[in-house]
Amino acid sequence: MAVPPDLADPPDLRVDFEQIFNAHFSEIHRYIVRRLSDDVADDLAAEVFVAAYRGGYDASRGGVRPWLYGIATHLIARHRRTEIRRWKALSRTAERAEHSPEHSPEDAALARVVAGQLTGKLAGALAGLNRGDRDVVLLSVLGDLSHAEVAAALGIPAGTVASRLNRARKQLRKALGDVNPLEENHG
Amino acid sequence: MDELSLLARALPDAPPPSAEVVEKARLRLAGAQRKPVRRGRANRRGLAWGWALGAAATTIAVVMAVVTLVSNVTAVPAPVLVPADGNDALLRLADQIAKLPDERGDYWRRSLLNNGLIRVRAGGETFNVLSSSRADLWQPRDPGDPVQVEQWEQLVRPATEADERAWRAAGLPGTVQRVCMPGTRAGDCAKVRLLRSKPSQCVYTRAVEPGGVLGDSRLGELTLADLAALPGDAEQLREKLRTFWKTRRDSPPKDSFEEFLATSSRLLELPVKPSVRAAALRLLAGLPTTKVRGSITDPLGRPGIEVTFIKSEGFTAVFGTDDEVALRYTTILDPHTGTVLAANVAIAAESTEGLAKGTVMNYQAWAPGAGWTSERPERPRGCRLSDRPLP
Repeated sequence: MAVPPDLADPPDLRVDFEQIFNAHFSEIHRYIVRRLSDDVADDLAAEVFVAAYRGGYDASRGGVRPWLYGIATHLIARHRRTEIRRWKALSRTAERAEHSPEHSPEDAALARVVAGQLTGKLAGALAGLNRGDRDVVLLSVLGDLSHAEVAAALGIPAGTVASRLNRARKQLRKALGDVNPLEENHG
Repeated sequence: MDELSLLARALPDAPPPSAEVVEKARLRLAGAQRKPVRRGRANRRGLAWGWALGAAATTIAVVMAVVTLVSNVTAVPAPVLVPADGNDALLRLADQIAKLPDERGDYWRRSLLNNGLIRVRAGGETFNVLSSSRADLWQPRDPGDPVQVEQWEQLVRPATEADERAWRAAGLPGTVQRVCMPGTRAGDCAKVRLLRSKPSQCVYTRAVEPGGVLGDSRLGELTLADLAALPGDAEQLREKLRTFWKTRRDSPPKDSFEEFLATSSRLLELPVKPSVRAAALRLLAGLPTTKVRGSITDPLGRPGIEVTFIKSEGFTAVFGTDDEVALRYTTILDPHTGTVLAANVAIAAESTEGLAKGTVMNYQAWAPGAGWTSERPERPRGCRLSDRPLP
């Protein structure tokens, strides 16, 4: 007797999934902490793997890493406001550090100030990016994904990834304004 | 140096998760793995989520059974809606309503159901419950008679059949934990008690309103006599509304007259004559802010006309752990009488966990039978007399 496809036994995904979890949980957790916060990440990272397991991995749509980063990015989208608050807060904190009167003349402290200055401006710019552009930037930067992998993660064409990155780069450059990172780097 | 590599270096890094966090996540995944996964499930997940417009009808059937009111509204055939005509549908509706007879009765009765979805968790299951409260207003024709307002908690129950199954799997708990945004203080994230059989927590007020001023003062401090004197002609109604606008309490008015006019859809929620309702619809049909979106089934399963009178898009609300679900708001009109079937209908404009795009998240529905009646309000039994005015 023919069995309807829905009732057929599913393949046992458990074994593979354990490997996937072991290999990637830590980096997905780190990606979420860097965009949101520790306490949200603890919960959300677990949710990424539950959702991934339930959804099932489809190898035709790209590698495992982009797939997991895509799910994480989708779940992060639920916390847009939290994320924007975080970037704004980071921007303010970094600016405050910059204007703190307790600057020591030592090189290390100066380097921190310069880094703080950059962080503040860049975090402020991240808060101002639209959601799609920010996702592409942070998947590239924090997830270290290639254009093709970002495209697979978000389910968008590679050309869209490139144009979003271009647009975001311009905004980041504008935010950096007179701080010339090249000079700071070599100075 | 490239902006992106600079960004990679400038953003603070994070330490690896603690062993405890990893272990908890592993257990959660193991829990999910114990439940069977069906092939093709990923594609159908969207359907399993939430509570779509059509499905709402079954959920609310219980409420409908409780609310049996006498209606003396004469029904007319629903006008045929052709979307290409835009707001002409409102003009055709107005033509039909204008012919309806004036209603008689000592009291104008209106039952509002305030319904909404709440994301909850219990026994390892996460699902939605529907919370429903009801507010009955008895507005006397004679200002010497008492106004009575009665409020009940109607029900709190699993929202859909899928939610019902999740609730059963959780062991049929009587109390469930509301799901809140991460970081919400425990005190602000109260438990929810399910209420499945009879309405409870009733409070009521009953008093003669000095001067007969209506409780709904959104268009100004009006009496039934003011409403009875409204003209049945759209142009004259516009000028009458201008006097309301000028004499509102917040004079000089914060809104322009045009903005105020857009809110005149509130007339459709007040006890006005059919001819005035028709005039209001003609007036509203001509406003740039009014948009007829077409036929729709309201959350109680009734056919209606979906219209937006003021800004509809661009709103957000908190749902479960999501701090910002995009919503649009809409109004649903009765295609026979032009009265409101459901107002402040909040529809998810995007999907989030437990709430699929297109799902109604909360709304205010007019129970069937609102209108003039020869019945008079009795003091409700098992109901606490409130010393404060009820909204």
